[in-house]
Amino acid sequence: MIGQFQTFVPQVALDQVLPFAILIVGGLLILALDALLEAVAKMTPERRDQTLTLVTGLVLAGAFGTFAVDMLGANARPFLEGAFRADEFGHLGALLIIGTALAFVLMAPALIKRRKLPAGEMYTLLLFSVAGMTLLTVANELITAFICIEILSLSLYVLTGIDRRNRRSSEASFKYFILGAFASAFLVFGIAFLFGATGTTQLFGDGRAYDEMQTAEKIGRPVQLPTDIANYNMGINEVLYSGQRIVYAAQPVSEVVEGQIVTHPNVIATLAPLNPMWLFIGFALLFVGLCFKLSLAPFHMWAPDVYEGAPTITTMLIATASKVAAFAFLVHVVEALSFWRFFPAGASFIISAVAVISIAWGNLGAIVQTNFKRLLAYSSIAHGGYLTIAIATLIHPEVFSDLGRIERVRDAIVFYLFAYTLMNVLAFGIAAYLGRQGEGEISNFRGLFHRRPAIAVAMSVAMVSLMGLGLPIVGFWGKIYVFKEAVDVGLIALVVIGALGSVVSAFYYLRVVVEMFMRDASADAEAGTVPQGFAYPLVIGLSCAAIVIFGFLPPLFFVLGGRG
Amino acid sequence: MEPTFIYTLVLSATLFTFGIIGVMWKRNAISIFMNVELMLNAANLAFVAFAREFGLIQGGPLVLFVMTVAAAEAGVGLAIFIAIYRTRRHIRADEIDLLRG
Repeated sequence: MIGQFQTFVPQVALDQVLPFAILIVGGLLILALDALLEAVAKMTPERRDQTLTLVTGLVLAGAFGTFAVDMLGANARPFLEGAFRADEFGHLGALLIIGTALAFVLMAPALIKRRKLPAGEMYTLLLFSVAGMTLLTVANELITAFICIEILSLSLYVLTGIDRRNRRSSEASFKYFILGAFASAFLVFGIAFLFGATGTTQLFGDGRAYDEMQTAEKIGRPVQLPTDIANYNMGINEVLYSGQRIVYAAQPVSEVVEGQIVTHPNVIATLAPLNPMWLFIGFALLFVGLCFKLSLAPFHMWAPDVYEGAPTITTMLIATASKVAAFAFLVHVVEALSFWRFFPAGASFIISAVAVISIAWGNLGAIVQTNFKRLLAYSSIAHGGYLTIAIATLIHPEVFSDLGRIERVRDAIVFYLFAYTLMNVLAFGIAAYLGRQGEGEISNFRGLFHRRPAIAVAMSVAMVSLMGLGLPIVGFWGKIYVFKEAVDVGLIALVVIGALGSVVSAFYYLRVVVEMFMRDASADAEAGTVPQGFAYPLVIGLSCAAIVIFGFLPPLFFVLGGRG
Repeated sequence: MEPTFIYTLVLSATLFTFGIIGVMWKRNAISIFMNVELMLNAANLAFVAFAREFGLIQGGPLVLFVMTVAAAEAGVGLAIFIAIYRTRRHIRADEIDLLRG
């Protein structure tokens, strides 16, 4: 006899859903406005594009604002039936993503005008991809996460090929699509195995169990009851803990035993343990799929071509925002594994191997590049490798049993992502600003300092920060934070390889700087045309200032992030 | 564990492997994409097999989501193929090599 259960009423946490709703509704709004402004309001195409840019900017600013307000109350509570779970980490990631999207909107009008691109479609796809990315940073359910990844990928495929009269752009889109779809299949297959191994697709159960689980551990062994209790009521659900499936009730459960009411604590039964082999297969396949999306070697082959062929502002979005989202998801998956107290043997080896190969391949491949965007592609592969060191740290046995240390490693990852985003927004922003001159061969930069000193100095800041050696600049502190946590758990070999990679990277980053400061011997030192207006200087100036300010005061980031 | 379950899982893994081989070997973009769809459906089969074996009711709905996503992917993919075809008059993946990769 099972006693009283409180009926579980699903609740929509409006304040948590609001920022995402703004983005999605905003995307649909742009789609409608695009059609209406010309047909009904009789606007000229130029006026229409300006209006669309303004509305997109407002939508993104609104989402940014609601996220920032919401973050003050971020409490790792799940919402929408446990499909999402917003924590501080996810919120910071979302803010970074929306910040990058704002840079995109600022820089887009010049490109739209120059290449005669469809503004409405671009902004709609931008908002949809941003919605997918931000939702991915808080996803708590694997299929939901898969759908988020698809929303962001499908939008990015089209944004890559949006300049469809340009053969390079459509070719980049083609390659991105084929390999992206291939990667998605790996993701789904991995999710299927994780589902089979654990019996759920939720990363942290439905989250209500999170606190009670720790009390249950203190109490000791959970009470054993018949397992079919799991099917009784919606108020009961299964969670994973210490490698076991546990039946858990939202309320303490009462039953009548021999005329007496007996109350059981929340944990009422343990079920069959996880299947370690399927868990490993599942994690490995999921990780391979994510490696494709994150362009980590040896699954990076699409990256250089796509970075080169895509419109530069789209490349910026692919290089920064989509990686922030995918890394946030990867961190949550790894954390869920640690929450379950269950690591598939060999997961740590795979992650370390990917980190080493990415650092080596990224840095060595970048040396021989002559195209600036390809150089940045290889550089981003290497940076992905440094970040993967942090993931390897996160699943180290010493770290995942210690909440304080998990927090520190997460802080390091967030700071690294922040630094990485700033540096790439600056570098791609300058490349887009200089147009054909900045997007092509590195030798085009020759003598830039004598033509545009301010831009050359900003580019030097970006390059030195990407190099991240010695000087007090964000890229340097990002590496220091990540490497320090790795050394603390004894991953010395990985850190040594990372440091060696950074030394090698000095060669190609400084080559760009040297080119700029060399005097151009040939007479074709005309300055070229650049977009007018405040947009580009604003993006370049802000990101450059942030790199320098946070370089001198890295703790400021954590203060602004709500950490006292 | 009943044998049907294992057979289904083996079938799913086999289809997935065929899909990988197809993506690697095929030259025509449409064939490559068909193989990607094969991989997605292999994953669907695995979902259903696990759901049936362990009596997990979520398995079915998850498959529906994956199928929907696959359809959306096909929509975007074919549009990209057409864009490529317009400029090149073919969609042979190995000859689309303007960008060195």
